[in-house]
Amino acid sequence: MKALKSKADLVTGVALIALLLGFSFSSSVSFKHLIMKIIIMGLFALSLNIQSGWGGLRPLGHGLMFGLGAYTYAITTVRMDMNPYLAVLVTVVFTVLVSMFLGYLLVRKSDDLAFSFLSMGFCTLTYTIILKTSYLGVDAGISGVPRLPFAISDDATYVLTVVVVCIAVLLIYLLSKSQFSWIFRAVRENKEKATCIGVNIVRVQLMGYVISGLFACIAGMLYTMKNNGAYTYSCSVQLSMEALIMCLLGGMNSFWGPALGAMIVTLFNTQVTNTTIYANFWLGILTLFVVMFMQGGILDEGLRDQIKAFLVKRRRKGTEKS
Amino acid sequence: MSEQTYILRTENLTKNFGSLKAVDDISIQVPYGQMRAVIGPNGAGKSTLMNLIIQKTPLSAGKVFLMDKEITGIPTHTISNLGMSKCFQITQVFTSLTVFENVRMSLIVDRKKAYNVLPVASKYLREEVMEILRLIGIADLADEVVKNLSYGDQRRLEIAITLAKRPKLMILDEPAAGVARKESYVLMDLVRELRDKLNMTMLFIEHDMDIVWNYAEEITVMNLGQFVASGTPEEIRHNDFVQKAYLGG
Repeated sequence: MKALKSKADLVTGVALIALLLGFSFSSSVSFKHLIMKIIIMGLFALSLNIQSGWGGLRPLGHGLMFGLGAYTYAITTVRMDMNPYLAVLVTVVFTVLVSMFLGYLLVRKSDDLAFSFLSMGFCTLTYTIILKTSYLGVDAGISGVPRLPFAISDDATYVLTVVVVCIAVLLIYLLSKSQFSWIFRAVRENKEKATCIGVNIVRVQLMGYVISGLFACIAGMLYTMKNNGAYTYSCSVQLSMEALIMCLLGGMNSFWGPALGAMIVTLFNTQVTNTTIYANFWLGILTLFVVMFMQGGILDEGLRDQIKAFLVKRRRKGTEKS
Repeated sequence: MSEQTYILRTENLTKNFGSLKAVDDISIQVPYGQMRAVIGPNGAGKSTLMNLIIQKTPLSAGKVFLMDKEITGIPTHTISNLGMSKCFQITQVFTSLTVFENVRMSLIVDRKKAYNVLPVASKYLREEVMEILRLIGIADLADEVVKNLSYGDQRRLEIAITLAKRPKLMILDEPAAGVARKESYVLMDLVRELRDKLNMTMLFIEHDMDIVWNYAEEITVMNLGQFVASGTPEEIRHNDFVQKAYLGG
């Protein structure tokens, strides 16, 4: 069953890559921007799921890592006039160092609620600093952020985004098959038992936090390149909450669940807002419905088993009647 | 006996909870290879003593030595990697995983691969895990999800998980608790067999006196956090306190 699930994940991945590359032939710039936004948010949601789905952590401020990627790249290129390639490297290193420091402060608290709210606190703090600091662009953000020299045009940026996201998602997929990910999941399941078999809970959770932050940083950088600018939304608690909703909607226990959730939420935010001012209301209703009736999310294994059992029961009833 | 013949030594272990002395100045020595039981009425401080030994509960005073190395203040997860493991009174396993995956977790940590980020096959360490499961007698349950197992099988699984760490000293907190009488003897026979085959030392808390008389080579008696007596089953059987508390004397 698990081998089949693994194959299904791989086949889905290959199909998605083919589809995304096919879209590169589209002439519509706005369509490509929409696809880029969906896949960047998909990567962001997958990065959050490393902490939430695998490790059982609930950071309410994961947007901070996305924002660090977005703003560090923007500041280094626009304010410091750094070479974009060097800026990418500096952004990654800086975000990893910050996530190591913050992560250590957060995971030392064995109280899950404290972890969640401290995470949100750091995100809110950073958001407020950005909002009040002219060097950081205040509420207008930092515009005119250059793209990488070999990917200046929208088409080239699209291909770059697809390639980078695909590589990142592949790395997350391979990580999900590693011994570290098994231990991380064991810690979520039973911390006390994990400690008794010799697992250093703080170290494992910190590692998960940093890896998750790294992929969120990459998503943030791609978002800034796509928009040619870094804006306060990138570092907001709202974005953090949307990422959690993405994971919940799609299903934290399935690999592609958060990505599916990201697609749904992004389409709501971009398309449904064009038809109604109550987009967030309907998104909220959808989230409540999923949480109450599809507890594991749309792609959850349990839900698939329930649907299968229901169909088998109906078929049996039909056979009995005839 | 010289200190080198003891796998576990405690010196003046004390634990205060406010004004309550849960463990009061306990000094015990456990020789290599022994099956030692710790008995006492409810509230005697037996579980607290075990938690102090594995450093799950911080000490108020005293020291703990494992194989002559002081382990006072060392985190529990580190102690597990030094050769001492505990089986809980209420079985602690990873219920949503299979039996195989449970034991494999322990092996991964034992081999220091917990931080390895490279992908491995789903059948990784299969043979090594199956060897442990065969030793415990649950190899046929390898692919069962743990929450579907009987309590007795979960108990065995917990021993298997602990065994994967290759401990020199295994601490068992009421191994027969919640298990039918016949099954409890089978379990204790297994524990003794493991001690003999793998050169381990077993320290167990137990309320069932038949288990204690039949399996313990030395018994330590506690009451109200204090040391009462220590000796062979025959010596302890004639102890006044034990007579009153357990044998109605």
